[in-house]
Amino acid sequence: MINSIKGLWIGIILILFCFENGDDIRYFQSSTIPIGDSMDIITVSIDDSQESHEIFLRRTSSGTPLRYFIELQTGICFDNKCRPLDIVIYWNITGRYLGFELLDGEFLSKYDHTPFTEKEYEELHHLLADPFLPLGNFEFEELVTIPDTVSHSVDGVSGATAKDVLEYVVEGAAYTTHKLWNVVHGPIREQVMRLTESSFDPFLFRKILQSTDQSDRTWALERVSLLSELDDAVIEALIGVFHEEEYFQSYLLLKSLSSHQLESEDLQLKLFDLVGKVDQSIENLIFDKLADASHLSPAVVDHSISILKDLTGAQLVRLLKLYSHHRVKKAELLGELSRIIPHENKYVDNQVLQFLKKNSDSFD
Amino acid sequence: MKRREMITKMGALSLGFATPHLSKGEVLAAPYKVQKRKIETEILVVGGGTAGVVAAIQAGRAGTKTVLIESGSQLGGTTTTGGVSFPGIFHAWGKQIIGGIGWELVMDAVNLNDDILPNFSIIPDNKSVRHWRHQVTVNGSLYAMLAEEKCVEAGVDIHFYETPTEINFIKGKWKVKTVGKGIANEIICDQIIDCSGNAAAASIAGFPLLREADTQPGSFIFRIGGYDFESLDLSKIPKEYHARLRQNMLINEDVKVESSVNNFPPTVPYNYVYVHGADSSTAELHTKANIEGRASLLNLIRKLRTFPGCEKLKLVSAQPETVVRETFRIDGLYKITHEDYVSGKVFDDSLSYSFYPIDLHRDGQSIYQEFLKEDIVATIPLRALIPKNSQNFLVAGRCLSSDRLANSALRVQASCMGMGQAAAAAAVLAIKHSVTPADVPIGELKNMLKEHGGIVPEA
Repeated sequence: MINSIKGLWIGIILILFCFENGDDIRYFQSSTIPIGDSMDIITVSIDDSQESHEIFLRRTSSGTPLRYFIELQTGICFDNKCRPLDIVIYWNITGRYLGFELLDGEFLSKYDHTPFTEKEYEELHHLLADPFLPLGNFEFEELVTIPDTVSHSVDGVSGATAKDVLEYVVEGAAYTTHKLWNVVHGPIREQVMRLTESSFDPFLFRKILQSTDQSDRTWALERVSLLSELDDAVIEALIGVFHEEEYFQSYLLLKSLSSHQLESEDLQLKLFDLVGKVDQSIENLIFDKLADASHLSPAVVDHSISILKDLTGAQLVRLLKLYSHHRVKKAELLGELSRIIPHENKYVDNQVLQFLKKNSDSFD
Repeated sequence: MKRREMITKMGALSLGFATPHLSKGEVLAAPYKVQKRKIETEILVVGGGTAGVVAAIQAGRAGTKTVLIESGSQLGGTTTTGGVSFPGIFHAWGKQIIGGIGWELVMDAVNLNDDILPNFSIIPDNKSVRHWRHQVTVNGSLYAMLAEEKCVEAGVDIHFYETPTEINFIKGKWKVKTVGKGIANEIICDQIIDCSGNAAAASIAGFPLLREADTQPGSFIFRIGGYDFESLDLSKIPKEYHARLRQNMLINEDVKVESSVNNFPPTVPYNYVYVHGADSSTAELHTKANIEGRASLLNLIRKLRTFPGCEKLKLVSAQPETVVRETFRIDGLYKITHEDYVSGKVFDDSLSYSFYPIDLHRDGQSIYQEFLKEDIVATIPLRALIPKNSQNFLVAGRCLSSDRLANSALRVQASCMGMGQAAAAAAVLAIKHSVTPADVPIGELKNMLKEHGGIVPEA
C-alpha cells in the first residue's frame, strides 16, 4: 500500500475523536504533541479587520506549544431569528485544524432548527479539516440563491445552495459550514503559525518532524531555515527525511536550507553521502543544492574523489559539473579521472576529457 | 552602326539584364541547389517532441551516435510549440513514478524560472484536489532551450526543418530519405525511434497503423488579458464563455505563492479552443488544423469583446500550432487495453509508468474521465512500443500500441517522456547485443533505465 501510512490533511488519517461529556460535544484529530502534565495558557489578541479574537495557547511548563484555541461567539440565523453560538475551535501548533468543542449544552442546528446528527457533526469535522475546499474562494452570497424575503436568514436558504458547492457543506447548514471553515482557515490560522515560529527551536523541529501527520512535517521542513544552528540531532533527522524517499519532502527540505546552514561541513558531507543511496531524482536535487553552496567543503571533495571509480556514468557527469561550478582543482582528482578514461560510454568519456581539457592547466 | 558593333552592344545589353548591378560589398549568390548528404548514425529519432527529446538525450548519454530530426523549429513539441506547458503526471499516491531525463528537464525549467513545485505529498481526491493539480507549470520557451542544450551536450546531431520521405530496411540497416529546407539527406542507421506522435515513420516504413473513425479534437492554445475577471458581472455573460474567461486568469506568475506547502496551480495555466478533427500527420492536414484554430480564436476574441467588462480584452499570446490529441497508433506486439490500464497491470517487460485518468474528449462537448483507484498505477511494456513484424524499430509517445481508452490516458506528457527514455535504452541495447529491440535482455534494459534515473515498475 503506497498510501497506507501517508499523512493527509484530509481523508484517511482523519482520526475522529468524539467525546460526549455530559452536554459537551467534542470532535478532534490527533495533535503533533500530546498534552503534557503541566501546562499554562497565554492569550494573544488578533484583529482580522472584521472581528477581534483572543487566541489561547496551551503549552507545557517548559514553554513548548501544544495547541491553540479560540472561543468563537457568533450568530447563527434562522428565518430572521438569530441566536448566539459559542464554539471552541482548536488548531495544532502547525496551524492545522484540530477540532471543535460545544460546551454546556451548546449544539449546532440546521435551517429547519433540527439539531445536527452525529453523522453531520462528523461531516462538518471532515470538511473543516480539508484546507482545499473552495469555500474560501467565495463569499457566502455566492454559494446560495437568496430570495429577497429571507436575505438575512442565511441558513434558512440552505436548501437553495448552489449545486456545485453542495458537496462542500453540511446539507442544510451552508452558512455554519462556510463561516466555520473560513474561521479555521483564515487569519487566525496564519497567526497561530507565526506564534509557533517564534518559539521554533531544534527540539520543536524534531518533535514536529516525528508527527504522524505529513502536513505537520511539511510545515516544519519549510521552516528549517529558522533554526540558527543545525545540531547533530537535527542533521540526523534531516538525513532521515531523504531515506523516506518522499520526493516532495526532500525537495522542500533542500529548498528551505539556508546558505548559512549549507556551510556546515557535516551537513554537506552527509548530503553527499546520500549519492547512490536515494533515487536519482533526489540525487540530482542534492547535486544542485551543493552547487548553491558558497563553497564545497574540502571533506566532500576528498570523499567524492575517493569514490569516483564507483559512480555510475550519470553520477560522474553530475559530479564533474559540481567540480566545475566550484572550480575544484586537485592533483588527486586529475589522477583519478585519468584512470577512468577511456570509459566504455563514449558520452561519459567525452565529458571527462572535456573536463580535463578545460582544467588541466590549473590543477594543483 | 556596323553589324558587328550592333551585335556587341546587344550582347552587353542582354548580359546587363542577366547580371544584377552589384553595389559595393554585394556578391552574386550561387543558384539554389539542394544539398545532398549521406549521414551514418546508430540511432535515428524521428520527432523532437515530448518523447523524442528524452529518447535522443538518453541515446546520446548512453554513448550512442544519435541523429534527431524535427520538422519544426524547436524541441519540446506539445510542451513548447503546442503550448501545453503543464506536463504531468509524475507522482502518484505519494511516490514519484516517472523520473529520469523528462523529470530532469522539468526540474531544470522550474529552477531556472524560480517556480515552485506543487505539493506532491497531498494526494488528489478529485474533489477538492483535482488530478491536474499535480501537473507542473513550466516556462515553455525555457524548456525548449534546455532540451536543446541537453541534446547538444549528449552529442545528439539535431536537424530542424527536416522530415522523412522514404524508409527502407536493407541488409540490417535502415535507409531513411529526408527532405528539408535546401537539403535532401540519406540517413543510414541501425535503429529508428519514431516519436512523431503520428507514427509517421512507422507508416512510411510500411507498418500498418490504427485510427478511430472519429478522433478527439485538438486544441489551439492562447492567453488573453486586458480584463479583470473578479469584477465581471457573469450574469450578463453567457455561461459557455465563463470558463474561457476564468481559465486564463492565472498564468504561471500568478500561481506562485510564498509557501510551497499548499502550492497547487488553482487552474490550468492556459486557455484553448477546440479544433475538431485536428490532425498533424501531413502538412496539408496540419495547415487545415492551424487555420481552423486561428479562425476559431479570432471569432472568440471578437465575441468576448462584446461582453461588459471585456471591451478591452486583448490576445496576449497564441501558439504557432494547433496541438493534437489523437491520430494514429501502431499495431504493436502488445496492445495495452483499458482493463490493463485501470487495473495497473504489471508485465514482465514493463519499463515505465503512466498515471493519468482515462481522459477522452468526446465530440468536443464533454470529457469522459475515469480515475485510477487507490494505489493503482498503469505500466507500459516494451512490446507496446514495437510494431508487429518489425526489426530495429521502436515508437514512443502517443502512437504506442493501445486501445482508444487506454491511449486517452497514455498520451500525456509524463508518460511519453517515460516511453521515450525506455525506447532509447532498448535501442541502445539492441545495438550492443546485435538483436532487435524485442529480444534485448529485459533485466539489463531495466538496469540501464535505473542507472539513468528511470523508475521501472516491479512485478
